[in-house]
Amino acid sequence: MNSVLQLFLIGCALLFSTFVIRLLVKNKIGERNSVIWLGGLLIIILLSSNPSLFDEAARILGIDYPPSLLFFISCLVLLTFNLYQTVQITKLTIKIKDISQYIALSQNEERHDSNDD
Amino acid sequence: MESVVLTLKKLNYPFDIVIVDDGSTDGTAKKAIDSGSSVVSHPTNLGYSAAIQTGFKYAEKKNYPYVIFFDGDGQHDPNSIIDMMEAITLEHVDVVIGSRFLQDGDMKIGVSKRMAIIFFQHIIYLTTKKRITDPTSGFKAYKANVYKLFTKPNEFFYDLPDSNFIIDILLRKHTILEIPVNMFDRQNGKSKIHNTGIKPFIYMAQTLLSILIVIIKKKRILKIGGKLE
Repeated sequence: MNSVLQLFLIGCALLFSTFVIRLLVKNKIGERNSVIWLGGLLIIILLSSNPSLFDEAARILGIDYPPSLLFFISCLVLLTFNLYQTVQITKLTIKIKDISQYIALSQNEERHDSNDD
Repeated sequence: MESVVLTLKKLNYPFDIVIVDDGSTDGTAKKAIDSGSSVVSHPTNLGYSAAIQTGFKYAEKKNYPYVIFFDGDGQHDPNSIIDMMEAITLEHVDVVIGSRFLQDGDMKIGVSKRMAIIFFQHIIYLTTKKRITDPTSGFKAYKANVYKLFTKPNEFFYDLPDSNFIIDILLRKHTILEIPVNMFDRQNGKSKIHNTGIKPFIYMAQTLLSILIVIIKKKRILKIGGKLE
């Protein structure tokens, strides 16, 4: 891996980390979610600053071009995170449905109570 | 919608009428409330399945022994309600389905919908060995022992409760009876299964997947039940 690419990757990861931390400070992202993002970024930074580790891993896996291993890992991380987000959305959808049904039924009851008075 | 409620009220049957309004924005809910009906109004659009579950939850709250579902789009014939009521109260079954195919009618059904119905008739027979002629009918009556099963958030997870729901009920060893009812072409509103483009295929794939999940879940419950014994 050449040093320009290495610097570029570290730079991007650091820039992204500052974004995540800023969002965290502004309460625009949950702590639990940001931990996963920051953890992923830390792995990218560590791997980019020790390219020999990477070359070795790529050689063992039979990958001719080591940086493509980096992209492959990034893809896996993103896919996993995406699936996790879909699970979260489904959970939220069910919660919203239940809350909406609760509100609807309570309003109905309220209307009937006031009609009875 | 108003004409349906009016007809139901005129029939003067001994039951409560409740309207589930799925977040309508055209003033339907207000009109219904003004007319003196009991209305449960979703604050936002939640879909067909959630509306059915709201009906179940309402029934559970009021502790009704039976609940009959009736579409408000003019597709179901209010005069068939008495048959549904007699069937659910007098017959020893847990669920009654109003079928449009058990009597001669002039119901116009497109080729793709007819094929989907025949397909799911077979799937239901294959999985439960029961013949259901109208798996997509929304005209259903439930006894309390069945509808109370589906008021919990994780027990009613269907996007479209059709054949998958019927299979679920049958696999739980509940009994279903079909009776002939009259159905009309929709006066207003859209079908759950849109008859154009790719949507029928997505509907079929989704329902098949849902059936598969019902069967897997059922197997798991049986396994856990077997271990406990």
